[in-house]
Amino acid sequence: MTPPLLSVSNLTVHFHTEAGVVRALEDISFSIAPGEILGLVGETGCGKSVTASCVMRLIPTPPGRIVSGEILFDGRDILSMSDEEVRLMRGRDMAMIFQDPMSSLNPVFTTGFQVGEAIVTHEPSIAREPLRARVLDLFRKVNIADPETSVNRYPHMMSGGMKQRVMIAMALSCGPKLLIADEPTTALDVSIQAQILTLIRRLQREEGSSVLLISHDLGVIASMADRVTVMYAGSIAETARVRDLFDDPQHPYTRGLLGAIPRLDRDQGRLAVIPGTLPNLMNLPQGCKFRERCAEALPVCAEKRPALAEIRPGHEAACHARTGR
Amino acid sequence: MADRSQGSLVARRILRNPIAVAGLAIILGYLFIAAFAPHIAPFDPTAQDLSRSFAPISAGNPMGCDEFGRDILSRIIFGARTSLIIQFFSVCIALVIGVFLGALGGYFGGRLDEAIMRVMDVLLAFPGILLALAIVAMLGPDLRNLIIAIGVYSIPQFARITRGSVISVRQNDYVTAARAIGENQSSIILRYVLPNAISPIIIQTTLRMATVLLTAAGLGFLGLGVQPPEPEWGTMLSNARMYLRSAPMVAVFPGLSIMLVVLGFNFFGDGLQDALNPRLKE
Amino acid sequence: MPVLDAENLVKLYPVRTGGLFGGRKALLRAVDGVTLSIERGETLGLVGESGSGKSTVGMLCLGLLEKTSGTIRFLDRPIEDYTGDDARIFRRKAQIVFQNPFASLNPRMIIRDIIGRVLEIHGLAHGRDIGARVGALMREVGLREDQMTRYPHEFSGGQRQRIAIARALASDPELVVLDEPTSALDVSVQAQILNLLQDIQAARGLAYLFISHNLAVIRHASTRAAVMYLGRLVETARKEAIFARPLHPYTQALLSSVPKPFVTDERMEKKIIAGDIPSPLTPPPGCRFHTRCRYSEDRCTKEEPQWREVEPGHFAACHRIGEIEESRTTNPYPEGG
Repeated sequence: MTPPLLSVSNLTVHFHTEAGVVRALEDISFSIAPGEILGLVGETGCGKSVTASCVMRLIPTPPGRIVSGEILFDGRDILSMSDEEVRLMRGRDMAMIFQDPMSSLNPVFTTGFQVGEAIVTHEPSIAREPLRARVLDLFRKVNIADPETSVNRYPHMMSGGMKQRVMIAMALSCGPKLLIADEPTTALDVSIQAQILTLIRRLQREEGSSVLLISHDLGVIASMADRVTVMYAGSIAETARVRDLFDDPQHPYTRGLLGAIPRLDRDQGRLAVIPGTLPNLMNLPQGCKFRERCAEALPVCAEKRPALAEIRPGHEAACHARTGR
Repeated sequence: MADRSQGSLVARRILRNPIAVAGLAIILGYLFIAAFAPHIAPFDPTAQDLSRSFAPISAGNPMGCDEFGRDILSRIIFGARTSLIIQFFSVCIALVIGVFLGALGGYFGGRLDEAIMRVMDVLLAFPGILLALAIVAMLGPDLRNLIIAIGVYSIPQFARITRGSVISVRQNDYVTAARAIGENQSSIILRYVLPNAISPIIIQTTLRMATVLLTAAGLGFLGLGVQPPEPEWGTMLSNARMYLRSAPMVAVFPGLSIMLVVLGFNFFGDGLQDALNPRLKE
Repeated sequence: MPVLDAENLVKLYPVRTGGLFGGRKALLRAVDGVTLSIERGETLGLVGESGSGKSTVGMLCLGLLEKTSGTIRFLDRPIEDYTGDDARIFRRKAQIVFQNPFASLNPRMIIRDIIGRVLEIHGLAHGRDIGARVGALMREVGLREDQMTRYPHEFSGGQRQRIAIARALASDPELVVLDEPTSALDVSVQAQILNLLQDIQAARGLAYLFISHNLAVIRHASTRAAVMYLGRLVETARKEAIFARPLHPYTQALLSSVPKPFVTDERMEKKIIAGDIPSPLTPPPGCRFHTRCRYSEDRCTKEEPQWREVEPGHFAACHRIGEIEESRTTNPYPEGG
């Protein structure tokens, strides 16, 4: 077995706010193999974006505080790197694309210049002409029509989908081993989303890079990911290969989530509902965080927080009802 | 207008900011002195005693005496009262008229807005103190006219701030929702728009208190403010300037008082701004 | 008699385009000839991507935006006729729920006043009755009565949307426009709100105009669906027909672009719509979809397709309906560029 490219173990992160301590992540462990797409799915406040920020070491401290845990990327411990090492690593070894391409690009520079800057940051000695060629090449790679003209365009002259392509070109500029895509298509229309997802998938195959794909949309995850990790209230509920997760979900939360989605392929009289609301991250209940909304809760669920345990090879869930028997 | 928890949150943020607390302390002290002037002042501020002309600092006259032998401390204390009256009423004038015009223009837009803002531009085109000067010169120098002059010259600031704030609040869905449930225009402005547009206006009011005091003092200094023997800090400063070489202390105390109160309002206003518009997410 | 009957609705916006100085004036055709009607107890789902004009249609139907031309009849009367005292009646009988529950509730009002104002304005309750009626409405939408003295920020997104729904119900409306009512919510909360809307409709016999970009939500929530593209309707039919047998190439392509929440061996690459959505400022001539349509031919670039009833109750605007149905299973889309 090849060692994972990224492995996060027992990561716990707190945020100290005016109102109290927010337990954003609690004992998060997952890994991504080389060339793999891991989907990270969950609802608002589940901690999926905080996880991505930790991997990129973009958590502002304070108010954030990494309480414990280890993030190994390509054999190196990200949390103990110097700021300079992190700066060099970002963009070159791992890159990120964000939800909102409108605000991630600087409005006063041309898109070509901005992609060029991303290259120059890591290759300061590159000459003008090769740089231009590289940028054009990247524009072609992400299917931007008419690259020669497009490199001279400013972000506001482009559509949202085109801007997201520019962001992807920028992220790929130095051939990163890991691409973190945080809700990359949430701000886009359905038809454009399909284009961008296809693009990400094609590039991932061509470059052989790994992708951490964060999304709230189970459809996006199902059509993109190799493996899926479901998060709930700062903890991992379940991790499995994509087919196992969608065909035979184990954690009651995953099941609830899948039942709650309106479907295009069949009629549902009423949607299955997960009762109740998310627990307050500043005041978490004892035991399992999902217990109060769970139909299968056992007495032990009120006492002990369930740990992630293997239910079948490659399929882990944190649920007493599944692992207890 | 602010609700319970939001109000207490703002209060907590202010109390955690030492500069704002200092500002608040100065303002409270100033209000106290102005309110209880007759009980605090050791002497009648207008009582002359030429034998004590320019009397130095002593236990009886902690700040000494001026050219007519009046106790400077007592004059400062009563001067606080005059300043507060000027500040309060002139800011009130500016607030009421400015917010009214700004809300009207901002909410309805179009020609009305255009007309209101051009008038404001004309007012703003005069250097502030000159405008006030012209008004006082026209109406004659006394306390009432001073208040009117300063009030009028502060209107554009309030109108602009209100207009900007109203325009941004107007875009909210709850304003459209108010139209959808059948609220009438005045009700929309008073119940939905203004309460949400109020924070920059509150901040502006606090900061204006400082500017207004300075303007009043400036006009007093130019002889267009409150007329002697009524104690007023600017007028006191103006009189003291003739004896600056022989008796500098006479000028120092009114000057310090002005500075302290202006600082107090500015500190508090800045603190209020930080507390009302925190960049930090909760 | 339909609750709402809109015919040939047009909304144009004059806009300035171009640089800082002396930009050209142009007309943005936000809604360009939309005809729809909604019966009592029915949900019309209006679906489209950005720039389709679907939200504008909702605002026009409620008279919250002034239409440029066309007619809107509400309860068999043109909405222009609701003037004076009758204006109240229209406001009372036609209501709206917005997308973002964080922006649609006045942050400075407590819940009792947010909902109670509706009762006050329309004289539906007085004094103490207001509190009782607000309490009943809160229970109807699944909130606790004792929460009525709280402010909106003390509630979660889903609870706020319930409050917005209670406000819309307070005046006992006949029609509620739901403008992306669940788009800002999480999946689990969305399910709760969709079920709630369904229950309310069943209990009160309301007509809904349900606007959404989410095809699955539209499928779940509607009785009939209408698909918009660049200010025009491209297809309308009963839900069973439009989702099982979409006739318009845009509807077909849109449906296959949605990532499904299950794993299939189908490759998404085969089904995507190429190209960008054109700007509504310069909509393509002829059929507006022709720039992205794989069935497009010469005629499509010149002639606007007629809006016609292809099957009973199934309307579409496409030159090539009939010709293309047979080829639907083949001919994959190329990757977008």
